[in-house]
Amino acid sequence: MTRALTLPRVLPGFLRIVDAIERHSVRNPRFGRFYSRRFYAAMVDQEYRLAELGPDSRVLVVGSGPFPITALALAGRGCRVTAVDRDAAAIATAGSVAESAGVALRWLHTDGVQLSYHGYDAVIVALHVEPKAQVLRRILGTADPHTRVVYRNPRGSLCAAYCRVLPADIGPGIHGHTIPVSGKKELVVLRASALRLVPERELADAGSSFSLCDLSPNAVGTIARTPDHPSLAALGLRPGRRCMVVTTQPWGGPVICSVGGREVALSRSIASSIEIAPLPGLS
Amino acid sequence: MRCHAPGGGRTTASHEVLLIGLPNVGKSVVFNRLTGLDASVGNYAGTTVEFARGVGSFGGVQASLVDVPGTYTLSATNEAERVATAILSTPVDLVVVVADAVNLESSIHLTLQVLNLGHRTIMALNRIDVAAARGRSIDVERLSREIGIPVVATVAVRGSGLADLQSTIADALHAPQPAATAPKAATASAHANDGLWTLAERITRAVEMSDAPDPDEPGDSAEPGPGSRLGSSALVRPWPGFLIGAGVLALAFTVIVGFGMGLRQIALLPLMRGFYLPAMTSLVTRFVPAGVVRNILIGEYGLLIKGVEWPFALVLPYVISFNLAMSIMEDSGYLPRFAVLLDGALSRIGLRGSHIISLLLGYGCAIPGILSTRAMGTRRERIIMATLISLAIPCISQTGALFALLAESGIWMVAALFLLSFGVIVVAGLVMDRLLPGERSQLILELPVLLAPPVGTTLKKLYARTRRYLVDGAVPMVVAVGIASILYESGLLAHAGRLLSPIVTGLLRLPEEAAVPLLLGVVRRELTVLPLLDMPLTQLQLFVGATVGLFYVPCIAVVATLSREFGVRTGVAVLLLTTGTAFLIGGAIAHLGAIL
Repeated sequence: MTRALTLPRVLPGFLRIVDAIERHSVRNPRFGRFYSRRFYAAMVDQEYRLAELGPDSRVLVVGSGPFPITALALAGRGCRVTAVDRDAAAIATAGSVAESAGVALRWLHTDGVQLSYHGYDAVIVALHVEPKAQVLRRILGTADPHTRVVYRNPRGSLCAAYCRVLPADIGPGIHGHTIPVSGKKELVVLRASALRLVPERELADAGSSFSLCDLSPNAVGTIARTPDHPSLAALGLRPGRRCMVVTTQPWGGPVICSVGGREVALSRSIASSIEIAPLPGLS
Repeated sequence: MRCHAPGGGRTTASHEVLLIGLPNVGKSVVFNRLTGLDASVGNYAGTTVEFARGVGSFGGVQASLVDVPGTYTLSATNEAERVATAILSTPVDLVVVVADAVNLESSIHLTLQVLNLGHRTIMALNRIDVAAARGRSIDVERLSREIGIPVVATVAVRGSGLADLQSTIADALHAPQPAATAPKAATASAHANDGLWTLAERITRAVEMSDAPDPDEPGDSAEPGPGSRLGSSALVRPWPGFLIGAGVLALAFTVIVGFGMGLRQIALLPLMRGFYLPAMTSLVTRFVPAGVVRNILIGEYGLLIKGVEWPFALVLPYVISFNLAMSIMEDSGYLPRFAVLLDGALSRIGLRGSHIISLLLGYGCAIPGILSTRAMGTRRERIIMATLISLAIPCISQTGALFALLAESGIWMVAALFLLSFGVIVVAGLVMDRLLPGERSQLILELPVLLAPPVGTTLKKLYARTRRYLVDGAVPMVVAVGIASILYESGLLAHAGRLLSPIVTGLLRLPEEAAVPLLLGVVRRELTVLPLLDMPLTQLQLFVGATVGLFYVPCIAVVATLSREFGVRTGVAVLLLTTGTAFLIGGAIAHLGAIL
């Protein structure tokens, strides 16, 4: 996948540890069973109930990862599961895990912001999916009206490692209800009405571009659109300019980018409203 | 005739010339060079927050020169930019756009905006040395033809090109008022703002010759030319940025304390105790008969004793060392990078990272700290900053006094006091963030090129600031000590002290005479602390006295500044808040300490 889009943001070390644990789970089934019971079993149960799933429900799991616990657990309950990940290596590993467990899943190697979500009863979005708000916007834009959308958010200190997306961040008028689960996580169920509230115009934009916030350090993007602020243009942040993210500060601090040989620090809220044109070759 | 009246004062010069430009391109350096004055300069956006006025001579013509705060565009996004935009809407004889050769495009855009207002304009193309170091050269003649105005290349910090600029200004002033023939570029006036940008981009491409890669390619910054950018990005990455930030602060603190204390102990104190004091005492004793007058001169608050020792032997060394450290930090371009690191943390107390610069300036003197808030932020943020500066940030005179008071009983007391101060900053910030209505600003901060601070500029700034302390700080202190001395000898001070004794002896558990510094502290902040030096106090009492001194009312000048900037109500509110906090925390420490 494109490097620009794989972005552990604040605590890269933490994500790397989680990744290592999950890869270890693949090799060591006993550890894997412990790990999934400890961190996932209760959460997947909740999701099963919240998404009103039953045997034969069609479920899409976005960001299934190399050790697809959620996808396997749902398949174990009889759901017809499609697992999506944009990391080809993760898909390959996950495929062999599922095979050795004797579970049949459908695999999709694609990016969550590019996918069509039509034809599912429920969509479940994993904790680490990025850019989560855009993925959710894409889901709301393309899913069927009856589809139930459940996504995982971090709570408290886990917010340092993962991005927390509130329903209001997805778009104006989007509501959902939030259920805290153990392990500093929470589940957000988007209300059915939210699906219809997203205006057509926004749907057309959703998922087609990223903001400056979503670029990982050292990634380069071309600015597609900037908010109306006179200083931005004067600092060289204008549509068509190429811009590199130098670093992103912790605790919701600014994004530092380099444009036209200048370094500029921007609040997250401004950076997130600077749209980056989609990269060619992303499909 | 010279006059340097910030914000006002017409001069007798018949012509008016405006210096405008993007933030941090060196307008004030050009201004200082042309007028021989010392407007404040530094390597970050927003050094000049109100316009300074001076007179320069251009080919025999006296012209009043106005240094306008830097502005990215003429659309006024903050208080300082509003000043710039407002002054451009009045008739002026000539506008000198100080353009930045490093960021030519934005400078050209600003020039075009000025031309659209119909002003006669010339351009000083500054920082061509920095552009050259990055492998970019600019065809000055072509630039002049393209925009249709005279352009002079300068390197203001080194003074090169300024003679040329002076004669060009003279020519422009001698020339008759421009005929209706609008400059070539002004034909763009019909265009929308986007059109101006397109034009600015086209002109830039036409005049810029680059042997470096396309500046639009971010590769330019990843693979930097001389003055490596690679190092500079380490300063803004959380790691090792925070470590470096802590190191820089520790170094600055060491320089300030070490240099200040050294200067005081090695040079000024021996001079004072060895020569000045005995000489003065014997001189006064010989010529002035014992009595009230002699006491006023060399008694308890003797004008010739304390009035000289406090401002010159005690506070001056720290003023010099603080300004040395601060000047270097300001000129190097490090401060905005430090600001970026702290943005996340400061947002918890309702501020933005860039506001740390104002807070740091407040450690020198509250007034420049409060004034500097004009260039950054909303009214709400400015009030939060001004309150924090007035409440819990000791000015350098006060810090010097606190060091003198506490350091002998142990450096841990100094550390404890500063921790207390940080704690109060955090708590007060959290509370104000909850209570105050209003908007938050969004951080948009350019990180300037890192420069080795030019020694000449730094020394000049050190000199200018030290001189300002002598005029605006030391003289009022001498006067205050004189008045105190008279009041003390006449017994009025003791009377007032008795009135305050419920607070002083009851609440704070200090000796009754400690009421005197509380009264003096209204005039100058450090006078809340200095008189305690000569009182026999226990360690606890020392700490209580220092605490009260730290949070107690800011001096009269600060309250006046607050009232002018934010209205009298805010000024009074800050006055009450600081006094209340001082007595509350001081009283709590006195009583808790007594129990322990």
